[in-house]
Amino acid sequence: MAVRMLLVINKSGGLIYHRSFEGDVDKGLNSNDYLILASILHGSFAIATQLTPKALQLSQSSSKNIDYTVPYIPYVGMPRGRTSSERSKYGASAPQGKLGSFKGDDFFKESFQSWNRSGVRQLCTDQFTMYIYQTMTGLKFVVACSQGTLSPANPSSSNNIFNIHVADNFLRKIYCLYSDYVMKDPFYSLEMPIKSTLFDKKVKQMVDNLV
Amino acid sequence: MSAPAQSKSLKAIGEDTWKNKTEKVNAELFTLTYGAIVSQLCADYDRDFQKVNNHLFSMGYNIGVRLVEDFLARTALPRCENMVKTSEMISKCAFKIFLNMTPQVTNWSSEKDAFSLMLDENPLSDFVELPMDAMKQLWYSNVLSGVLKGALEMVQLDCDVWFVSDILKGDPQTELRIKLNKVLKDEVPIGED
Amino acid sequence: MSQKIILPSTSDDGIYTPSDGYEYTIGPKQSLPNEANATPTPSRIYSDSLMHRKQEVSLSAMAFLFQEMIATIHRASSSAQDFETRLNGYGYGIGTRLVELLNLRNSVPPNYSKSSTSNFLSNSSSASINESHGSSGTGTGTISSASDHTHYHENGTESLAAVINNMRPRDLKILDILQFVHGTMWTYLFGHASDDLVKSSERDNEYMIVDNLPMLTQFIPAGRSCDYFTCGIIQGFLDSAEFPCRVSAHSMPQGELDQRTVYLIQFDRHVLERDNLRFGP
Repeated sequence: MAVRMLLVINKSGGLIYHRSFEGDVDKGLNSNDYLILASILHGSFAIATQLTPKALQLSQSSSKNIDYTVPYIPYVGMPRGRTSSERSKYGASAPQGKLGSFKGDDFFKESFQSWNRSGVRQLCTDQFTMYIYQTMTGLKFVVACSQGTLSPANPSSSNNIFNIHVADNFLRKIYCLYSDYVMKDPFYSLEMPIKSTLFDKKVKQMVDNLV
Repeated sequence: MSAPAQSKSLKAIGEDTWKNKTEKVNAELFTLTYGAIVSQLCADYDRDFQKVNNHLFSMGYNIGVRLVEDFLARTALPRCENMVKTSEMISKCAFKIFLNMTPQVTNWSSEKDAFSLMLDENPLSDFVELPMDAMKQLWYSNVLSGVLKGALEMVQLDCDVWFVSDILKGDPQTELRIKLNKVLKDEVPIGED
Repeated sequence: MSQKIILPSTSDDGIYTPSDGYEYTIGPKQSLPNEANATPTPSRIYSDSLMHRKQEVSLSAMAFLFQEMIATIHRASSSAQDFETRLNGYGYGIGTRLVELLNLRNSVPPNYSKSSTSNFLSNSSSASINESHGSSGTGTGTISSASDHTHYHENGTESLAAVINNMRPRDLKILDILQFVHGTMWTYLFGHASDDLVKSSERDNEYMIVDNLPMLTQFIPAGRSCDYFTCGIIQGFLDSAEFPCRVSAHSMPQGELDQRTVYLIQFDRHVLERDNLRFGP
């Protein structure tokens, strides 16, 4: 399994969701460690924005042609294997579709702009790679995986930009799940830890679909 | 800073998102549910409509701060560089995607920091008529002011939002006013520029 | 059992006439021709067409409104029971409104479709509107029927009653009214018929309506039952159709369907006795 853990960090750097998908990852990390990890990530993310060399900043602002567009990569984290007849059989019992308030067979189908422009988008070690997606409201979605990429079709992809784009596609979908199963839950208090079993379940499904 | 030129107009994005990417429900269920909420509030506050207005506003605020995440996850649109862009975003995208309506943007202040939305149709108030005692004070759709206030605040725009007139109160049109107080620059997420 | 219906709201005083509201202890008032002087501003509601316009809002908008309604009720409630009762009350008022509305709309002939036959029918319906205006218009002398006629065309709305030839008879049998809830009402509210309608094998006054994925509560994790809103709608509907009952919601996951919900309807004893007397056991 490629995905090892998923974090959601609120705009003040507080950890509101963490989940590991491999038992052994948890070795040595208790929930307090996770809180510290989240706030360190939050801080390093902010510091990183200041680290861009001045020359690069100048050339960026003068040319203005840096492309922050993330291309749409079809069906990342979606149940691709399901045939249409199976889906219609399923659809009869689940009339709202499988994607909550989102219509169709994928959450979105177009390229989009990344809101994360000068912060950390990817962090690599020999052991794992971490990707960060930040929203306009300041939420951070973080995923760590054991291989360099989340892409099941391309497990040994050496094209790093592509890997970042896959992760952005995946994390935006987690954001979509968040907007349905956390924001529309009347018993959730904003900025507080997410306890929703439904969100858990949907996240797990999406991670499983990556394999 | 400035977003790259959009390949699609906001109007087209709003319409496409509404049509192809959004699950829908019968608007009458929405109308009836909101009606049940307002009439219960009128009873709970013993027909003190000022309090009902405030309560509707705060309900709207609570909705707005959550609803904005739905909007952003669904559209992933870049930040608006000025209020003119913001007004279009609200009218052609947000109202379109959530309520399938496109209020007209008008009455700009000379500083371009305040504008009005004209709600020709309003699914909150379909089949609604106010009782006599509520005519003067109750802003029936006040939840909308709260929603806009909450949602804009979450994208770091501190605004005042209020109803200027309402067809239900005998006015010729329903006008919702939005005025920008300031951009909360310190709260813009680090890393966005 | 079909009966000729009376055209409502034919003394329409113009949709854009501002109203002064109505006395809330009495309710909106329709001005009749012979008391036009007594009530100078008739209720605006009566000039709106009841024709189903099939308008939609996003599921998100509905879910956010529902979510905030639940949170408000939850804050005000002292216990789980209190919460369920209050939530039930919100739905109850909606249910009572649906009895007449859905029956009326269901009386529209099945072959009537606004687009395909609109020419013929809108002509005939506006003709009948015009005709009745002629009589009421001369009586009151307050409004010209011609101006009214244009209102109907501007809005593209037609009187629902004008399309109906025969009123659908009211459901009198328990099974008929339950079929109506399971099919017509569910489709109106949630866009599909409920997934099952079952009679209890243990108690003869109990019936169950099953929804595999309740639309309104699909984003809310199990724990507190927010489905009492729908219970309230069902109960309000059945109560005002003279089938008094109690309705409760139960989460009953089945296989993959872990949000499957069963609405248990328990009719009052006398409803059963009446059914037996009338239609035999």
